[in-house]
Amino acid sequence: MTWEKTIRRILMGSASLLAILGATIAGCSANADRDARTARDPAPARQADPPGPGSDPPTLSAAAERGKQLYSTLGCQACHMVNGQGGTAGPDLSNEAGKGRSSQWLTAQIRNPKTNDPQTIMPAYDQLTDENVADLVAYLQGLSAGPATGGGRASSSRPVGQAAPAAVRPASVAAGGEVWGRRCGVCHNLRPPSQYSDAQWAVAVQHMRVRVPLTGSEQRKILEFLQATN
Amino acid sequence: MVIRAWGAQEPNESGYVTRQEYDALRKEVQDLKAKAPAPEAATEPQSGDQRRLDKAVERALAVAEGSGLGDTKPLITGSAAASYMDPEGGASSFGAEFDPMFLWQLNERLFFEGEIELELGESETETSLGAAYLAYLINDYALAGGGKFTVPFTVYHNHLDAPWINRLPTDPLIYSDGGIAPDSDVGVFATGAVPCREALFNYAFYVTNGPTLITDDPGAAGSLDFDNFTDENNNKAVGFRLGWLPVPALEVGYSFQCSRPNPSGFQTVHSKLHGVDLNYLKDIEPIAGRLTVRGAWVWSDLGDATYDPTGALGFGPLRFDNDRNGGYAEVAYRPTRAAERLLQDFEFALRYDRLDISSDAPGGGVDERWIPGVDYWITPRTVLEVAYAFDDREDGQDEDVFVVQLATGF
Repeated sequence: MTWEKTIRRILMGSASLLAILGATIAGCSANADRDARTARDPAPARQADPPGPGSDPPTLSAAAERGKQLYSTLGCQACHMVNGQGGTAGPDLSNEAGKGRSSQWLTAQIRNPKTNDPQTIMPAYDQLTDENVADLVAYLQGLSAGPATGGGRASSSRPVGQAAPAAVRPASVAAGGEVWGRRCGVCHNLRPPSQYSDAQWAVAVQHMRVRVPLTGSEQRKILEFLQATN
Repeated sequence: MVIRAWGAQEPNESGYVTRQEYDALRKEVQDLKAKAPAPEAATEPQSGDQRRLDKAVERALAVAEGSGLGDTKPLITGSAAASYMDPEGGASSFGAEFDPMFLWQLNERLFFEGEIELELGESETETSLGAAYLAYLINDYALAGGGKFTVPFTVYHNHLDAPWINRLPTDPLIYSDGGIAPDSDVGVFATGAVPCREALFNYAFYVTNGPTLITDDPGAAGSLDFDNFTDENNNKAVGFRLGWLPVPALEVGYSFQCSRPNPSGFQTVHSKLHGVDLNYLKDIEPIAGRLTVRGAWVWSDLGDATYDPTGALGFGPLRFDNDRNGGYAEVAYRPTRAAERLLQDFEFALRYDRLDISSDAPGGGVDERWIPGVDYWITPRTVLEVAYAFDDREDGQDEDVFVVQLATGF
């Protein structure tokens, strides 16, 4: 082994260690940042942790209750996890307030996710009414805030159960999103549904049916989700 | 004078209307009024801009309707990559590859995939047919096809080798040139998936022309050539893979392939390939990111044979134990929940490669590689990868290499 090779290996080894160190720091910094935000904002900090499996569910405000129903009807759980339930294609939403997500940030994330992250694959829910979005935000913030909470800030006079029907997608679409995240996301990053047309998705998903392979039911569910959200 | 029956609806030529005609006309006017748009909307004159817009919409609709593709749905997709390689002790060079895939959904059950692989060689563009097969979807749990397809022996080539999916810019040793696992071949296949409670099973069976045993190359005698797509001896390769997903994030699989790869005129040699593979990907809160773990191990058991028995080729007679095995283990971490937005787009990968070939065989020995790399995800399907392969060969002919690759899937 020549001395040049030895030096090169040392340099590359150091670079690798730095990379791994960077990854570790990134992981720690995420937790540290959350802790720091918690420390800066003691109100949500006391209630930041989502309820554990054995604890009583928090009492939500009326708006948050409507948001909870809308969250389910829209199929958000297909991609997002809340308190251990839901998909993994998107981030866990159990503790949005604890992460320092403001109402404005969450509203933008629902209306047009690309304003917060240009690379996100989350489809825009721009067809929702202002009340719908406010209810969803109340629900997400209420999750973190615990019993009798902050969801009330976004409350409105509309009674529970009157989410806008026009925005509702069938449950099968939500199921398709979950299958998409689970079966396609395990090998590669998911592209935004908007990148293909309905006809193109039909071909692409049939291709994956052959390659993966998917079951016929999975193929139909994934296609329904992608065509509904592109 | 013509006397009409009372109530008849024929035109009245007298210039007057009957009471019945009057009532009928009145009702008709009222109905029309009810159906007519609001007066202000109906009477509002169209502006020049509005008329131009309406015409543009009409033209766009006409073009859209005229360019309809009928029931056959095509899609061009694939991948491309540009790379820079700097091998230790060798000349550095840039490279590029382009692998377009042509997909057709002929109907709900028939599907065609064609793939062309274009890569820069030393002095010309190397072109190969990556895939050209037709598949028929039998039911929800089974499909069958034939043509040139990616052999489902372990999952690497079928799922993970596209440059924008692979976390590192090089293939593991067992899947590289001189490796011990098949890539694509010509034949027929049947595959499908079956759910079972929370788990999912998948299967693939295939019959192909199979690999060819190299017998006349002093540097590679005894190894299998997986890029020879004609059948040398009328014996087909038969294989299968069984996969199991106990939880959505994890898939494990077992593969087997047997064949008689000896060319005509050479003594009979049996080949058996066994492979196991694992693929795991999960977003994990405590580590604030996504963890990917992948691996495979392949055992190649080739029957003993005497190469160049007469010594006419200049390297025989040569006989050796022809068992080969190797695999890889790869771990990658992407801090998707890092506080810094920039860090979320980085991914850190490390792979261990190994290939064991009997030291008595041509090109034999143990080859080990450690490959750390850093990826930067420009978009979900476009990645810049930087890696360094630390190669350690038993014969001392190490091939360390520094690689940078920009890859995209489209």
